[in-house]
Amino acid sequence: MGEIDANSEMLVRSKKCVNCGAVNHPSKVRCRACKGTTFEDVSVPPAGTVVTFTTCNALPRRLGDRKSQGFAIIQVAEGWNVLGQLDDADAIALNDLVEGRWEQVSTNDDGSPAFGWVFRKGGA
Amino acid sequence: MITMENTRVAIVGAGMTPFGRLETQGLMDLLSEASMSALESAAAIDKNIDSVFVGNMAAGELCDLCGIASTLADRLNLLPAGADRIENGPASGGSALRAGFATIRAGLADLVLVVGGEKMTHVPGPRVTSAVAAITHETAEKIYGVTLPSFAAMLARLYLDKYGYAMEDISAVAVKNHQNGSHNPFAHFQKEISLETALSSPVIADPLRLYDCCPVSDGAAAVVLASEATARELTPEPVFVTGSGQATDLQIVHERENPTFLTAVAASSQIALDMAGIQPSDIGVTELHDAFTILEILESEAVGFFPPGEGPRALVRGDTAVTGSCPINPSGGLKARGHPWGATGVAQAVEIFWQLRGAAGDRQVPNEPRFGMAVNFGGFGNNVVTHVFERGW
Repeated sequence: MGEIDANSEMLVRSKKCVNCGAVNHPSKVRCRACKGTTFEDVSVPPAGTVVTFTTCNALPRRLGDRKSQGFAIIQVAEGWNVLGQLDDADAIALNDLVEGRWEQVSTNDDGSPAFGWVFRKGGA
Repeated sequence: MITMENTRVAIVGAGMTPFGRLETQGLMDLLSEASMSALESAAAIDKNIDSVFVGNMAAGELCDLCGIASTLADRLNLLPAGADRIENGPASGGSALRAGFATIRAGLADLVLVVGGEKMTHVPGPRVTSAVAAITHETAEKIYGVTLPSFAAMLARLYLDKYGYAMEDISAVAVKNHQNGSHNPFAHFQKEISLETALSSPVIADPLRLYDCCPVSDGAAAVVLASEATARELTPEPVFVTGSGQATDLQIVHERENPTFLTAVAASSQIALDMAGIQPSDIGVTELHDAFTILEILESEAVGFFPPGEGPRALVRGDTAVTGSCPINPSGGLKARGHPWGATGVAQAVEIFWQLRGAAGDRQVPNEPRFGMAVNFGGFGNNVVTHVFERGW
């Protein structure tokens, strides 16, 4: 994945605790590690390594007519984790490098789109 | 008599409906049947019940019902008993038991009915999947359509890689629990399966297959709790609740430092064991929350029965069989007895009550166990309720 401008929407954004440095993704009222309440913005490119993954064949209504969907926990730069969908779980192994894009991942009950990260194998 | 004094708390009666696809009974029918069975078992059918606690996860979502504890009190003519529905996801039953225990122990009630139940099989599978997926984190997890089987599968993959096991080592839980379930007349599945059957069943969320996952079930279970003085009047064989623990963990699975060690299971169990003044090795019979085969393994390690990574070896040795040194899920567990969400935590207590009384029939754990344990796993392990039980005679 090439360089991404710091202002790009194509970044995984979260909150780092000013007191202890733990990243809370997504943000919380009090830090998961130290209960601190002051945070600073952090953002990293949507790329990292596969911590674990699965392909699920029994899906909730929000995924519509899909018959199966891959999911993975990805460790991004700075060492914190995110959950995302996988493009092709059959091509994935533990510790693989992946890169992601931000797009519609499901549909809410009211018909509105829900956006999130979708990862595929690749990256340096 | 309500004394406002701390007292020991005992189970004096228990009952349950069969678990399974119960097409002719609605949720209130199931709750009523289990409750009446427990009241009759306790010889308390004509006694005044001070409080009713109903463990239920999704009456609103699946049955379009609300206020079900009030409805039950009316249907059973338990008036003017206090009545509350307790919701803690799949651990709603365990939390209802804990509420009943705490109420008597605090001196606010003398005789309490705890019942858990769920009606699930009448709605389409994706709706049930959506209802349970609603306990995942709204913005970090739920939006992706991730499910509890997905999380269990991701933990299984991590565990297999970390300790060098294959799925046959994990799926052996299903073989054991189906064998136990074959001796349980209340179980959803009452037939044995082979390891080959488990390993060739359809993939639900790889590496987990159909037989690694509990079924969707209807059913209800109930116990009657009493203060020690009243328990001694009602029965010569009370089973005391000697430990009650509850603990939470990070809701978002990807935030957990070591996802394969179930921190809330460990914490809630430690609290319950400390309250009871015993060690894991003292426990003679245990019901764990095996919604997925991997969870029985992980919970058995988190409780402290086996070191991390040793659960599958203990299983293969037969330690966790009914006749083993550490019997786990003699009822068949969620895997074979079934998993009507709100009922499960209470059904676990019912099984331990029967086991400690020596009344579990062909699945009876030998050698008259004195202590039992039940672990009810709420959310995806982020709100766990554990109880310890002891024979009172």
